[in-house]
Amino acid sequence: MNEIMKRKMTRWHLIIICGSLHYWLPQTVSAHASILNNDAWQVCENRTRSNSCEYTDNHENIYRGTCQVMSDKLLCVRNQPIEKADTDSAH
Amino acid sequence: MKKQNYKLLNCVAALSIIAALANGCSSDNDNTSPTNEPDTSDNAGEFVSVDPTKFVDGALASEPTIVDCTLGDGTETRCYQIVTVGVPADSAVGPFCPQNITSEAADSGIWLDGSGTLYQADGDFIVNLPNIYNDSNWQLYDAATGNVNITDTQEACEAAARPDVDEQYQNHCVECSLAYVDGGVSATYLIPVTPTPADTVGTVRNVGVSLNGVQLAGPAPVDAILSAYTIAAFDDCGGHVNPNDGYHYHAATGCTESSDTQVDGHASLLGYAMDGYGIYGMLDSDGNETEGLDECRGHSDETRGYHYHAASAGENMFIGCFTGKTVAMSTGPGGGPRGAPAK
Repeated sequence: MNEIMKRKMTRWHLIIICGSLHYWLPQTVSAHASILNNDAWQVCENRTRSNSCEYTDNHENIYRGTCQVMSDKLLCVRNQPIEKADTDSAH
Repeated sequence: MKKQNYKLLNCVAALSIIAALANGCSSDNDNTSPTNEPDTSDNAGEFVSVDPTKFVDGALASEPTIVDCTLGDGTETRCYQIVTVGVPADSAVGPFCPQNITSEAADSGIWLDGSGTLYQADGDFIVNLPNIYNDSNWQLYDAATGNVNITDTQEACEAAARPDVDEQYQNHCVECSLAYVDGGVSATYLIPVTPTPADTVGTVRNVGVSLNGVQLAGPAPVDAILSAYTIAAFDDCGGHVNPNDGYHYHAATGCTESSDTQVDGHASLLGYAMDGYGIYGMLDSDGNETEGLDECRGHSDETRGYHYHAASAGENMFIGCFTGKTVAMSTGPGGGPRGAPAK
């Protein structure tokens, strides 16, 4: 198993742990429980064009932007720098 | 291409820039705009027009010409007609799918989930698909041999590349050969010589063309692809082949970016959008992203005028929308490309 997959597996363990905690905590933050992370589409499902949107990838990096029409569906288009999960200066 | 071959085109481009700058200076519009709003202020009228000399040698089937064209709102204008040869001029095509679950990253391409995560589509990735997608129905390989199920004929490619994937090709890595499209699909792009800011942002279908002559496509339908238990692996340059468009890019991985065009540390130019504005890489020479992009992922600076920055390779897109007007749909989605198998 190469280094990428090793890191990925470690992240999966973290995601599983966080997912378990998330189940017991109040739902005060948006859910990203699906391991199939297509949140860039899902986050805009009930929004309109140019509405703000935000989602988190499998590495817990945060993407912020607006919903735009792509292939006849609304997709969250990031227009702010990726907020890295391991960046101390994250907002 | 020889620069002298484009002397006339460059003169037109230079006159366009002067005209645009003059127009911008006489405007009374406020030059500030909210971060999330498209930059359609007077600053967005400043631009660096398409420069045909930026295309890589061998990317184009013929020298760009300037022709009459009609924008989506009916405006008659002049466009560069750019004809690509249908294959990248400076990089190999593939590999895409791993052949076996023992395949290394160097022997295969990449895949993404469309929401930021980029994977090396190697053998380990194939084995881990049930975990990655939390679905035990994923089984893309023969358990006895470890060989990955790959669409290895034109018939299989066409059946698996449809939105309604033929059931027999579920649990396949979809891979199409350039040989199925006669070695490549030559495409014709009509891109305005003078970009014109639109009143409202335009929808992206085909984004534009890269400097090495490859279509910059809209997002891959990742959800539909995955729902059929297929992946459509890209090569390391973020491209793959389909029966209609031939080889095209869905992600900016650095293969298309020119390395010598920006002396101020700005990200490199990688291609042109269908509205005529340049598309640059995501990161500057220090590895930082640009702040203050509008909702299309564009902004203006003093050197380049209005331009876009590509999203990361894992985001399944280059830009979010068009700030400028594109050519009428009749000539192709978003003004192009009009494709035909390369001869």
